[in-house]
This record gives sequence, C-alpha cells and structure tokens, in this order.
Amino acid sequence: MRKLLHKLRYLLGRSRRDDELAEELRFHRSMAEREGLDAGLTPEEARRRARRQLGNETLAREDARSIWAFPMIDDLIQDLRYGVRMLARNGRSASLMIVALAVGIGATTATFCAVDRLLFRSLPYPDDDRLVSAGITGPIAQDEFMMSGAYFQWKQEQAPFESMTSWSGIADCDLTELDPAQLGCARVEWDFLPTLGILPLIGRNFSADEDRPTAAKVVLLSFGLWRSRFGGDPNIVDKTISLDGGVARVIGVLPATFELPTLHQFDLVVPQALPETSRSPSATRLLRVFARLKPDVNVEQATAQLQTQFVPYLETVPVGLRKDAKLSVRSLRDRQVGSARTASILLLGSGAIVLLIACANVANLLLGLAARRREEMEIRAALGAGRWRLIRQTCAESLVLGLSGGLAGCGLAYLFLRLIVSVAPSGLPRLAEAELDLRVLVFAFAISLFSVFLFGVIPGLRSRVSGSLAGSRSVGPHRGVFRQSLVVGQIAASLVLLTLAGLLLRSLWSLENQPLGMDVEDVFVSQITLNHRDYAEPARSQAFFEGLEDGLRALPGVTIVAVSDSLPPSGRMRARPYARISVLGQPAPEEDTPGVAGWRSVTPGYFLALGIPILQGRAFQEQDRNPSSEGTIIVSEALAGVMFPDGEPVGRRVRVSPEGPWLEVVGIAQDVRNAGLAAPAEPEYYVVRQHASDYGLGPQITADDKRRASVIVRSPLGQVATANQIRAEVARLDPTTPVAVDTLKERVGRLSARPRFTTTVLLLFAGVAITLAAIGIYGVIWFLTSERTREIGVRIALGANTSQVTRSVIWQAARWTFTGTVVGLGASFATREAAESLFFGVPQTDWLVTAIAVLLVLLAAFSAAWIPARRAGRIDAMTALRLE
Amino acid sequence: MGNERRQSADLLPGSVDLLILKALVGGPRHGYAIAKYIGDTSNEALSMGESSLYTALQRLLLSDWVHAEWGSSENNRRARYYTLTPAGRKHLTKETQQFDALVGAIQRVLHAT
Repeated sequence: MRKLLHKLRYLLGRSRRDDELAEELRFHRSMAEREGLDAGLTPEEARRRARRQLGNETLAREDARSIWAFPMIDDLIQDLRYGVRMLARNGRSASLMIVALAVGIGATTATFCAVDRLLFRSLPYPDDDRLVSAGITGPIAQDEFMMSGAYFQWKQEQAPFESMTSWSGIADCDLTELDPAQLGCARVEWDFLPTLGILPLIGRNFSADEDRPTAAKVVLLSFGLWRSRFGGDPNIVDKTISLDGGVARVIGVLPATFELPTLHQFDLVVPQALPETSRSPSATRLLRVFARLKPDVNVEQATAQLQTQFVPYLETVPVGLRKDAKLSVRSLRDRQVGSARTASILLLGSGAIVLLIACANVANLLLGLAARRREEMEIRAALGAGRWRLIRQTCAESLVLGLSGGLAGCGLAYLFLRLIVSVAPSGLPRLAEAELDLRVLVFAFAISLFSVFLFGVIPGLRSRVSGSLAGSRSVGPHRGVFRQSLVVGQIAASLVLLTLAGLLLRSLWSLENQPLGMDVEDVFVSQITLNHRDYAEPARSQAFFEGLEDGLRALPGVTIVAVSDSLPPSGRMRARPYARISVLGQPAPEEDTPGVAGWRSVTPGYFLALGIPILQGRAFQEQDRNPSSEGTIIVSEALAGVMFPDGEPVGRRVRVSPEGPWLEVVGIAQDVRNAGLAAPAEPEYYVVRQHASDYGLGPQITADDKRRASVIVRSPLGQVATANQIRAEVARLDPTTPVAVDTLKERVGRLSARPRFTTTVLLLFAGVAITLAAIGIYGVIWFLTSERTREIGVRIALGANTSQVTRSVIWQAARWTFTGTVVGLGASFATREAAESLFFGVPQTDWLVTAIAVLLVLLAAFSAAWIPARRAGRIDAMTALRLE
Repeated sequence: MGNERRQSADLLPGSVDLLILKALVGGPRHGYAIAKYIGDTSNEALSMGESSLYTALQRLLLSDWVHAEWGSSENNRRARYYTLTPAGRKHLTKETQQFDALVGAIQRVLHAT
C-alpha cells in the first residue's frame, strides 16, 4: 500500500525525478573518472574505464525508472501515442474509416431511438403487456368498439379478463369561467384508471356512484392543465370549476406520465355517466373497451373465451352487417402501433443496413492497411518487438480508431435524430418525443469497436511475422477474396435500399397525384364547434351558422361560401346502411344487404366551393333549403351506379330511412375520395342543409352535432387575408369561439405526411449507403493496386500502356459491380414483398425503379473506381521496380 | 586487487539490497561511495554496475528502508546522500541473520563428508 502511494507520488513528480537520477548518474561517473585520473590514466582512458565498469547508462536509467513506474500504463500510453501517429500518417484511410463508423453508428442509433418508443419501450402502465383493446371490428371500423348494452352484459359474464373498462372518447367541454377555454374531456367509466393500473398523483379516482348521470359532477385534471391553468396548486382537491355551464368538483390530478391508451390529447377526465337506458341489452351507444388479461391468459385464449359471448351477440346484429362483424382482441401496443409497424421496421432495417455497409468499409480499409504495413511490422519484429507487443499495438491503434469513430458517431446520431424528428409527421405516435437512448449509443459504440478490433487485430494474429525481412516484397498478397466479397455485399445492400426508396418515392408520387374529384386550390376551411353554454338551444347554433354564411358571403374577394357537417377527404362522414335506403318503384332492399353509403348535409354552395362537378341534373339551390319545399338529394356517381343500374337517376325518388320522407334526386355529383388518398371513392349522397334548427335531418342529428359544422370558403385572396376575414366574421358573431383556418391543400397534404416521411428518411439512407459503398470500392481498389504496384510496374515495363492497365482495373471493378447487382436484385425482390403494404400504385415488378437504381449503382461504382484505376495506369515502371 | 575475477554482486538475489544497507550503517553515503565501499570491503571481489546499484537504491527508497537527500560532496559537487532508516536497520539485522543461516546450511551440505 505504501508502495502504491510512493508510486503515485512518483507519477506526479516524474520529470523531476528523472532529472535527479540523471544527475546522480553523472556524478557517479565523474567520480569514477576522477579515480581513474588519480590512478594515473589519461582522461580518455579514465572515461573509457569508467564507462566499462559501470555499464550501459541508458539501461541503468531505464531499469531504475522501471521500479517506480507502472509498466503497463506506460506501455499503454506509448501504444496509444503510436496509434494516433499511425492514424495521422494514414490520414486518408483513417478519416474515411472514422466517417464510415460515424455514419453507421449515427444512422442506426437515430433510427432505433426514433422507433424505440413506438415498437419496444413499454407503455406507461404497470404490466402493460397484459392490457388489451377488445370488441367488434368491421370494414369501416378498424378499431374495436362495442355497443353499451352488449358491453355491460359481457362485463358480467366474461372469463378471460381480470378487469374490463370502457370509455366514450374525447368530448368538447368548455371551462366557462372568467377566462373561458375550449378543452377536451376524456369520458371514461369509473374503473378506467384502476384497470390501467394508474393512481392519481393527488386525490383519488372516481367511485362507481359518481359514474351516474344524476351524480354531482367531478373531474380529474391532467397534469398539464393543472400546471398551466391552476398553477400547480397543491390544494386543488375539492375546489370547484365551472364546466359546461355547471359546477364540477376537482377530485384529483393525474400523473405527468399518464397518457390515454389511444394517445389522444385531453385536458380533463370525467365520468362518462351513461344513462340507465344504455345498460339495456339492445342499447346502441358506442363504447371503446379496454381490459386487463388474467395472469395466465393470452390474447388468443381471450379471443377464444369471448366467443361464448360473441356468438349470441351476433344474432342481434342486423343481418346485413353480420357478415362483416368480427370479434377482435388486440394488445394495447398493437393497437397503438397499428399501421405504423411496417414503416417503423423498414426504417430500423435500413438503419441496420447502413451500419453493416459502414462496418464493411472499415473492415476493408483496415485489411488494406494491414497488408500495406506488413513490411513495417517485419521491421518492428526484427528490432525486437515480441509478437504480443505487436498485437497489443494494433489493439491500441484499433482502440484509438474505434473511439474516434464512436465519438463522431454519437454526434451524428444526435443530428440524425433531430432531423428525423423535425421531418416527422404528427401522425406517427410518439415520434416527437424520441430522444437519444444511452443503451443504444453504447450498443452502436460496441459494434463499431468490435468491428474495428475484429479487422484490425485478426490479420495481425494470423500473420507470421517472422522477423526476417527477406522476401517480404516478393510475397504476392492474397487476392483479397474476403475484401472483394465485402464490396460485393456493399453494392448489393445499397441496391436494395435504393430500390426500396425508389418504390416509396413512386408510391408517394402516385398518392399525391390521385385525382381527388375536387379542386383544392384557393379553398379555405374551418371546423367550428360552438360551446355548450351559449348554444344549448339548437336554434341559436342555426342562427350562428346561417349568420356566418351570410357574413362571409358578403366579404370582398370571397367567391363561394358553403357550410357542411363534415369535410373531405378525411372520411369522417356519417354512414347509412344500404339496407335502409330504398328507391321508389324498386322493391325494398333485403334486410341483409351489406355495405353502407356515406352522406353529408351541405349548403348549395358546397359543390362549387370544392369544385365538384355535377354530372347530371343540377346542384342544390336556395329554394331547396326551405323546410316546406320538396325534399331533395344529390347522389354520387358511384352510388347512382348501385342504386340505379338501369340509368336515369335524375327525377327518381329515394328514401334514406323507412320512416323518412321521399327525396327527389336532382343531380349526380362526381365521385370524391372520401376515405383518404389510397382507398377508392366510396358511394355517398348529399342532402341540403335546410333552414331549420335540425337542418331537416330530424332524428339523424344529435344535439352535439348541431353545434358543429365546417365552413368552406373559396377566395383568391390568399391564406393570410382569408383566414383573417373568417376569424373576424366569427368573432363578430361570437368572440369566444375559437377558430382555426386551414387550406384544403394542407389538409389533403397531411394525408400523405406519413408516406412522405418514410420516403424522405429512406431516400436519405439510400443515398448514404451508396456513398459509403462507393467509398468502399474506392478504398479497396486503391489498396489492391498499391499492393500490386510491383506487378503492374512489370507489366508496364513489358509494354502495357496506361489505358490497358486502367481498363483491367475497371474491369475488375465491373465484375464486382455485376455480382453485387445480381445479388442485390434478388434481395430487393425478396424484401419488397415484406414492405408491400407501404407501396401504392406501383406495378408488381417495377422495371423503371429497378433500372434507375441499377444505373445509380453502376454510376457510383465506376466513378469510385475511376480515380485509383487511372492512378494505377500512371505507375512509373522504374519507380515501381526500384522499390524492391 | 583487480586481477581476480570480479563477481557481480547481484548474483544472489536480494544480496545487493543487503550490501547497500550495510554500507549505510556507518552513516550517509552517496551512490558512488556505496559502490566504492562494497568494492573495497570485499577486496574487489564484488562489483556493482550502475544499473543494479541505482535500481536497488530505488527499491530501497520505495520500501522506506533508506532515505535520500541532496547535499554537497567532498569536492563541493551536488550529490544525493542515502541514509539508513530505523526500519531499514531492523530489516538489515533480520535479513543478515537469515542470509547467514542459509549460507551456513549450504556450506554444511557442501562440505559434508
């Protein structure tokens, strides 16, 4: 122990002690010389005798010093210094390697972190893998739902779930206080939070009694709302707030990490307080159901066990819909990831491919360097370096390389992630919160160090550095088969990425160029929801919207104004089963007629505002809005084809519900893409918004819906001006109603946001991949021609000219490229299948994309091979041979 | 003196340390003086190279058996003087006994009839 302290002290005063030792030795020597002089020798002889007697001074110093030093650390520091010097000497290769490592680590880490929260990280609920979403799915309802009557019955009789709960979605609710605000209220069953396993941060959860329509209103605040609106008041519990015109008591605050299973944004959580009638078996209130599986039950077993409830339930479903109704139990994560799974896995895969290509580059460069440094190693061995010393040195060099590459990679990973997050569309869940994960960084670092060590040290281990310098020149280097196959692999992998990126690009182009059936230029839309308190009376909402319509129409510059209950193309319009639609003169449809038609309630200006052509007949007119006039309906092309197969739809009479009035078909409208860009146009019909408080819809419209409508304005004045006009008009009628104005173009654009994101990232990676592959080719050819300098020199001396040599090198590169392309084509066909769901509108075998990808690869390969090939051709035979 | 074959003092391991410690019993000495003392006292039978001498001195310093100080030599030059510490004195006595015992035992075997 004392010794250790001494040694440490020595480390600190190192140079001083060295000087002291040197002085001591000098003194010793001069004393010995003095003695010699005293004995009668000449100064010269005295000095010689002293030296002989006392031995090698350098050795003495080293030996003495070694007592103090930590030998291992000294050697390590020396090795590291040599390592840095080696890298500096081979600057080009070293920087290429560091770049390759950095890019590989950066790409992999960034993509992994981006998709980690989506695919891998656990959800913020205890035992989150036991949570499922359960219910019925149908062709238009992709997410499971249940009817309340059936739900309560199942809840009592079910077997596979520890607990089962439901919620009714987010509703608009207004804080009607001094500073009013329109908020989102999540309406949940009282056992919603316990099923998820969440306890409020402050306060308590709802009790069963509070989940009744007659109970006093209570709320739970979201963490964000508590902080922003209530200043994080620790005494918030039992305070009251004014909600939707009534008083509600705050009973708690939710934790900051809480999120709804459906990832919706919300401000408050309230009991859904279903009326008693919802519990009757035939009640048709729509609920979303979540449950926690019993410990020993998995999703398949749960689905099987629920069949006992599902089969009798199916009897109660209208016959027409029975075929499409399916029982579905899905893990919560699956529900959240949904359609984003394929895209995420694709991103992850491309990141990994980039890493592999980068590692191949590093490997090739290291192997090339090792071959080139054979002579240097031989010299070192001849000077006395043991085998382990040499290996230790290559280890140190690899360490320096790996660390530099790793550090640069960390920086790049951060940049890449920022880039991905900034380009990310809002639709991909959790992407915006992606951050650099230490584990992933360490993992990528480890991969880089591993590959560097593998290819830096292994050649050293394998080679027999004999210490004899003889013949090291004439030994022909192995043809480099391994290195060549790495290059072939790189080319193949780049081709795969390029092809995928090309297919995505083409899909994106198809998607964005789909004929929408409407003209989106110069159209501005705003969805308006009026608050509960002031507009409890339907007549007041009607007055608002009609007043808004008139006000907007009077504005300068505004061409057309329309009001509708929903907006294309996002497809949240209402649906009516075909079974309930009948045509006068035709037999009533069978009860089991499958399918539904969409419908909207619009003002006459709708078709003109959106540029939807009327193919036959006429559009709605103002007279049609009179409640006393004949009911009218406009039918889309597709629907007309279904309902009137024999043609002549205009003038016929149609009824959309058995109890409703007969409506006259006054026109046929062109099909509009209602269900997003990728799905075909669905059949739909339009009814006119009458001047009545129920807009002529009778029981088809709920009280909530009456307060909601979308305003459509066509105006050449541009976004800023028009938005201001719309906002001013709304404010004139009701200053407290919030207004958000979008252009229709933006709305449509948002639909392709996800494919655009995936395409952008993949294009980026493909570009990086092909660049790295090109660098790889460049590096390998450079090294191989360097190694064969002598051979090439001989050839040139024997009469080969520049272009012949160049051509032979290029030809070699061509062989790799050809092999790589063939392998790559095979691989891309295979991977295309897996990613098929992401493509839209591309043919089964897309020759155009494939050809372009191959062309790019060839271009990259040849430009990479060109420079070293020319250099090889210009080798001076005399210098080459003289290097012997 | 001078003609007999000089043996290197570090032939027996640990012996160099003991010799140095003994050289310091009489008082502080600098490195050259220690070497001179050993050579003189052994009638030139033992020789010590710089390397073994100074290596051993560092070892002894590390183990706290000697203490070193810069001073001025006989001819007013700077030299480093080594002094025996109490611990070193004890170590010397103990090791000398062990050394004697060892050598005695070996000699008994070698000279047995």
